[in-house]
Amino acid sequence: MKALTRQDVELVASVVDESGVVQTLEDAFRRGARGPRGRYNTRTFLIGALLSIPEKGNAHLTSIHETLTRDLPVDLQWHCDARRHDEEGNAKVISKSELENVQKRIQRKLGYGVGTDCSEEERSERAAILESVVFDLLDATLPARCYRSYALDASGIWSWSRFKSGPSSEKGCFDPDAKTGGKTAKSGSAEWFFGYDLHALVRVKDMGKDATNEAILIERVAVTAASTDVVEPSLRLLRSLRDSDEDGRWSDDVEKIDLLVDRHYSYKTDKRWGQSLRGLGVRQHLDLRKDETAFVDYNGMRMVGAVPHCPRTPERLNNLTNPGPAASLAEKNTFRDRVEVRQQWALQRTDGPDVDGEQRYRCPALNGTIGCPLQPGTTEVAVTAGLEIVVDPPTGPDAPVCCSQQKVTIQPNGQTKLVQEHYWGSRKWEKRYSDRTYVEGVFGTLKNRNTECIKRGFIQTVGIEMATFWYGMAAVSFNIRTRRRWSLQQLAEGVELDSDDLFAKPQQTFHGLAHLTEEQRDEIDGNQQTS
Amino acid sequence: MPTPVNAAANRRLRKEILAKRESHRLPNEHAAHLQSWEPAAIDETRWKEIRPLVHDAIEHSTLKSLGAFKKLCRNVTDFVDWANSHGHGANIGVLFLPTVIDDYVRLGMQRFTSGSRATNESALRGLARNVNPDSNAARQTTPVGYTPVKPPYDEIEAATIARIAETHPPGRTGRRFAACVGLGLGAGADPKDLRVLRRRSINLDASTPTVTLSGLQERTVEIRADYLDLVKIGIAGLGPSDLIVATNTEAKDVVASVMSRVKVLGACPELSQGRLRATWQAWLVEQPMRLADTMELCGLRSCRTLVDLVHHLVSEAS
Repeated sequence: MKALTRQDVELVASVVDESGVVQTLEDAFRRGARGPRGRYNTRTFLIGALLSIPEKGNAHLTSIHETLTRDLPVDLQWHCDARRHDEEGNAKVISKSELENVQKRIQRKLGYGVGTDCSEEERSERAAILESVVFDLLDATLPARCYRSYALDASGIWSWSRFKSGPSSEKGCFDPDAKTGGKTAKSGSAEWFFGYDLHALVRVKDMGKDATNEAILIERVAVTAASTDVVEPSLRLLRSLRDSDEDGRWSDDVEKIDLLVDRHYSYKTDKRWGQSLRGLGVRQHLDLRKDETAFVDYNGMRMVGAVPHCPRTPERLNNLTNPGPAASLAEKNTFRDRVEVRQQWALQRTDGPDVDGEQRYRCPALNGTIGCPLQPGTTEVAVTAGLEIVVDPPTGPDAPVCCSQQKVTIQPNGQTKLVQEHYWGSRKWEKRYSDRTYVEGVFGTLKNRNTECIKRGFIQTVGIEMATFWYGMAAVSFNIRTRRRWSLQQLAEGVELDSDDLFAKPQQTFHGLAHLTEEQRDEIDGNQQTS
Repeated sequence: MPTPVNAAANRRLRKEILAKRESHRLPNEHAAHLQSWEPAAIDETRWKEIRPLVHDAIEHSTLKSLGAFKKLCRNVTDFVDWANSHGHGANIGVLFLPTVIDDYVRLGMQRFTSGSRATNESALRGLARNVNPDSNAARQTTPVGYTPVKPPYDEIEAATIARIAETHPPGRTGRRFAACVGLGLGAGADPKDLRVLRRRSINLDASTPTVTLSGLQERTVEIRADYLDLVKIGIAGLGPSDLIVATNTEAKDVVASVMSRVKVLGACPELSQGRLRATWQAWLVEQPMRLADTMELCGLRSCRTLVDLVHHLVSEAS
């Protein structure tokens, strides 16, 4: 266990204070209540949680209580209100039941799960409050951005409750909000789990830029029951980012925001997912599934990955499948080479896509990547430049329009959902798409036993509101730790950082610990009373 | 990694090409010769019919030498006369196509010597690239390094070579020559196969004698019974790991050095391992067999060689 220092406590306290969530939560606790405002201990609870999660690897109230009352030095216990005076003026530490009360209030006042007795309107309002608490806490950990790219993914997390099936399940499941879903196991195979999906939007560098200029931090998280459609929560995260007031996050001077997503998102219809992204000014980068790599006819052209190709694109370039990350370098290079040869047969996008997905494309011969007898001068260019030449171009009244017009319009179609900036499988695409690994890395770190250690048992309570709150807190804890480590690395490399930034304060020197005697403890308590 | 394509540079190049085409004019003395050109071998009525076509085509010439230009006028007139009279169309766009020139070379040039044929064909194709650049440029893209298949020996030639190999004076050259001929005619061995071929790759003990060749694509081929005796001569006295033809696996011109030492007293066709292999391939393509199997046995990655081979067989038959 790491010794907690004043610097650690001040950093966490500053995040909690700067976020303003104590007020938000206490306002929520008082909704519909009458009488004088009570003492909620919300700030102490949040500070304790953020100190405890990375140290203990769980979000149990016992661990938080232990952190606040045993792991913290006595003077720091005063600092975060874990030690206080009772009515008779004696020093006392916060009790576990006081912490339990905070959690119970969250469950009672902000619960929005299946069993909660409230209207749909109230349910959405509660969900929005809880989500805003997590977003505000995350915002307090995030520095201004220098890049405009994000990676989005969801990861399955087991519920504390077991899924009940069979004759013993008459009473139903202990966690009514959790559901059964599929996830990718460590071995790469699919496995079933009962619990929640944690959706995370993670900062990644722009294509070709230096990754060390910015810490890899979680921008937004959302929790849904497993197997819930990813579109709505993902768009909610993106919209909250767009509506955020934070400087440099989503400004009008940025033409497009890059979003890296995995193959799961390519299942979503363009109307629900692609159009919404384009409406938000988001440019997605995705991988194709194995059943999406073959040519499909579109008015005589050969479409793959939403890109039209010359009608005479050789059959040898059809159905190029990605050998996958485990393939040898030679196999990967062969695949990239073949894809880049096929790219020469692809029509060149000149306009679009607009929000509806309409695009304009130019013939590859006119673009200068192949030669075609139908386009004067291009075959000579092809011979000079060593390009491939269309041997038997389509002629006559049935010839595709791309062979008689300079440009063609591709109307929204079944492949529009796969529209992306770079040609799928090319080295450029690979370079852009490989940054998606950061979101996987974030999930890996969140689940690492030496960090937040999110796994079954991380929280020993149930309900969607508890999952949202505690996994959100784990994300905040991740951000604090990661940004702090990144700042210290920058300092070590001689980079000048804002001197007022608590994350960038040089590490406090640790000289060791000593057990207090009763007299020494009373002396500290006495000093606090005097001050 | 494929060579990166500079599309913008290619578009600029195309603009230049199109502008050049637009601005093309014949030099004055060339134009004067064309105006006064009248072929002696064609009667006046016919010449009147084809004159516009000939003029249209020759307007595209970029020849600088007047002498070469005059020859071109004769060639083009002859070509247009032949092509037009054989129903190949009435404008230069459809006359100056590679396929029409191919037909002309094959059927319309028979009265010329082989040297004149090559010269005239070259001049015609050069003009065709100017007249119809987009259709003729593709013809230039035959893969670099492609070696056309050599014509197979006919039955008499094959039998002559086999006899020479069988009756060759014994010794190192005789043994090697027998191996080359036996494995070339009997199993389609290429010089690359023979360079690395060892005795243990030949199995004559099984019910079906086979040889495993690995110089091209690795494959196991059944040795034709007609040439089994030659193969036996070729491997006589060798140990399992001995090379059959080469002295070492890095040696160059292994087969050529054997062929150059062969003692031939009477008439003998030109000795070529490529032709021996082509003869075996010609025999193989006439067997009832799947194309994929034929290609595998031949050690081929594309069927281009087989297509060329069929052309040889057809022309031989005709």
